[in-house]
Amino acid sequence: MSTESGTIEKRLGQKYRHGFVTDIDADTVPPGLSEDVIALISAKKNEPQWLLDWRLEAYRHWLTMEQPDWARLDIEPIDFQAISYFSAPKSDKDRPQSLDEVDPKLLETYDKLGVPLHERARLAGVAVDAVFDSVSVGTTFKKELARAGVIFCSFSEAVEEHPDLVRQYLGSVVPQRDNFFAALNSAVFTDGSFVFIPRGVRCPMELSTYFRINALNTGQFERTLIIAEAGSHVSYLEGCTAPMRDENQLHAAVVELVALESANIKYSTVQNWYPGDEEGKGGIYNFVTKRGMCKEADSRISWTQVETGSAITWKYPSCILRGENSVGEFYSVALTNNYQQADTGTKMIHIGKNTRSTIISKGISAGRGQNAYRGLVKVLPTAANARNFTQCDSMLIGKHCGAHTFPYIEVKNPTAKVEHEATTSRIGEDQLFYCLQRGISEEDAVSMIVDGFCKQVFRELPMEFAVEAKALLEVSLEGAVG
Amino acid sequence: MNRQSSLSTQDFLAHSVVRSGDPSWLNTLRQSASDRFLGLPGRKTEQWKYTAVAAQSVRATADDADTFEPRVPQPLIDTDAKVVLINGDVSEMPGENRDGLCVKPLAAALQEADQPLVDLLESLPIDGRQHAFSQLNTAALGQGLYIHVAAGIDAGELLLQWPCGAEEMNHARICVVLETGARLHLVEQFENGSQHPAKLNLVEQIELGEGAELFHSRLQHYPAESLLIGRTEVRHGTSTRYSFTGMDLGAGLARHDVRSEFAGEGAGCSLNAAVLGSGDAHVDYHFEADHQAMNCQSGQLFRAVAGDRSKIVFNGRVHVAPGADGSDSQQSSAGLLLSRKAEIDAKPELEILADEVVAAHGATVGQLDQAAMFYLRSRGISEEQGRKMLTLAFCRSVIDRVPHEALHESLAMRLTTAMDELESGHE
Repeated sequence: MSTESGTIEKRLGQKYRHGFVTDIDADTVPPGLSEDVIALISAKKNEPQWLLDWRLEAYRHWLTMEQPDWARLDIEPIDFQAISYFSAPKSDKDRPQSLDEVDPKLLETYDKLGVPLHERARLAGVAVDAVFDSVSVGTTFKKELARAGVIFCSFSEAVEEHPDLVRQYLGSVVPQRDNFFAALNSAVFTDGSFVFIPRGVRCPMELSTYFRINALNTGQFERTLIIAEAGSHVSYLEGCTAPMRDENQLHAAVVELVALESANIKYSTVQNWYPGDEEGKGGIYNFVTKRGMCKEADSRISWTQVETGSAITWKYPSCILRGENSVGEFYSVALTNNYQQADTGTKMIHIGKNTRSTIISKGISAGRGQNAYRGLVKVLPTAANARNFTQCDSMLIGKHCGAHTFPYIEVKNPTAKVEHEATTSRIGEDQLFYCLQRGISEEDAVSMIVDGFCKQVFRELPMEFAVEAKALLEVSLEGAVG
Repeated sequence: MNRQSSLSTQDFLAHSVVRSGDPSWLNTLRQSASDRFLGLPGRKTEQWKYTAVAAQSVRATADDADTFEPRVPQPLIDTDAKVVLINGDVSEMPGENRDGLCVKPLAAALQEADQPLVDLLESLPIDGRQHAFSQLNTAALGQGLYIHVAAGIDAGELLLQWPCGAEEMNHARICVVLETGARLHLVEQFENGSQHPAKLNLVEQIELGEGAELFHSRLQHYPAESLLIGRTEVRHGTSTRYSFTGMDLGAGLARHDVRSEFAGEGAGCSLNAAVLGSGDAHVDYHFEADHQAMNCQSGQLFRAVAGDRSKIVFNGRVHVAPGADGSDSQQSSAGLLLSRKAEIDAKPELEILADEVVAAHGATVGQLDQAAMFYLRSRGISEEQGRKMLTLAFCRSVIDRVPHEALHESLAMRLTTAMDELESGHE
């Protein structure tokens, strides 16, 4: 290609736009992890004894576990004693009753990020449970949601106000001992979101949480739990940006979804955390366990993710298809540039009869990025007539990046039908040539081609997110043709 | 009467691996392999995830095994170039070698210790638990064959028959060297003339000089409860071709690792296998194309039909190293599950580190095409017959790649017979 030099480097070298730190006094626990720290976190949050016991059980098991190394990732050793496990804005003790009472600096941060909080949120028709570091500071549209019977609040609030629901479902999809990072999260999680959609209710708006990591050296351990009762319907949006930082930050979240009979949960993520600089210095470690359980018949869980940020991404949003006729979906765009690494994919576990799953994964590697799809499709003997279709495509932009595919297919039922296809290639030269000779500039052409490449996933995103995701990809990739 | 026995370290390394009278380099090689052995791979060893031999009890041979002499089966093809290896040991050699083709027992070649052979033996990667069987094989190095084809010679077919059936596991090594422009069709028959189970651990090292071409056809039809672990490592020079076609109809546990490493530019490989699983058979194929050089082509084709309680595993890997531009790789695996107790696991991997690459794979697991079945039924063909026709056609794409007409016919016939014998058929 003609533009090997100037433009590409300029475009690729585009700085992370959301790189700033808001100067707020944080109530931070000194670094280190022990049973005392866990007890302290639990006490600070006025938690009941059962939850503390639950945390300690997770912690004790975590101590016996080893950090897994099976992913195709190069991870610097993490010093778990150097992380501060709790950080909340000072105003925590005295929680703001309305947005007016919220620290203006906080609102300013959201403003810079373009978070549709306050009026903008209403205009956008979005209810926002904004998580600033670890504690929720503002929730909008509560009343409107309450009228519909929907519970949408911070996790700590849910523990206080709906302890029975939390106790019933917490850990029911991702048990404390599930994996190394899930166990760590179970021990030290500070906050997150809780959503409960009662029977037959169609949630009147898209629910959205903006996560933001702010205080230095604070790993974020979010816990999200969404329960959709029979016949209900909810769409949940999660978007992330984080300030620029030199030290690696660990983010080990757990997301659990429970869909009862005929319930429908749509979970969308745009992840744009700090990916580290051009030399691969810094950046967020994004080690997340996301899993949904289609517990009863005719339920449906759909994961859509656009992963452009983080130094290392390690996440496999999964579906356990237990109910008959239940449906699992996974749509993903993962982009790695510079020294970013991603090992992401999904697991579809078919247990019930006539269960169906679809996996569409698009990986884009540029610079020295390493991008791996890792997925499991498992059909158990009970899953008669199970059906899966998987498509993973990878696009390579540049000489030094890598694209990898590690699909696992395990079929134990003769009536099941599983299909998997994958392709890896560089950006289509014939397409590029065609555009160029029609007078379209190279950058526009690349942008169009990448957009087309990702279209199948973007069209699964809610409108606002689709626009944001498209813009994100453009920023990261314009002119990146080698 | 059969009895269960687990594979364990003691079975293999009970006696010292050093043999007095053998050259010191050989004893050093054996000893260092033996020192590397840390036990058999289990579920946690990624390459053995679906064939966790450490946890699996492998049926040993019958009580009368000590006195059992394996019977040599009917040869798969009619040829004068035939070697019979009983329990891995050479028992029958071709009367006289064809021009340019040199076949000799490995034991003799080891004594002569030509440098290229020594280098080849020493170059085999055996580190890590995934290579446990290669460690054992190297520790016991001694049995097997050395095959050499001189430059520019087309050596035709060479048949190796592997009747096997001793109490202890047999270890054999085949070294094949094809000089510049040489050609050979290596046909292997893993079969016993009787129903005694076999227990064989085989490592094959193949070195292809510039422009050389090797066809490699393999039939595995060992009796139930047999154990076969095979590893084939092919090192490609510039513009070389390697075509592997395997067909598995038997065994208790059969594992084949076939790996093509493209060290020279413009090389190509075609790795194909068809497996018909019956009874309690567990057959695991690992194909790997390692693109280290530019402009190489690799193709992988796998067809599995799992009946009864069988388990069939396919792991196809394509690795494209940085700078290996112009690589083209295709991979296709398809499985048919015929029974509720059968299982098929597939793991088609791509690891791509260069950008001027075309790589694709497709994998499916399912049933016979209902539309095709309906078509046949509407033409008055019975359901059973139709099923058989379609299943045969499904596997034919693999055996059609065998370049030898008589061999092709013979394999097709055996496949048909084996399909008729499937215990349960469709459930």
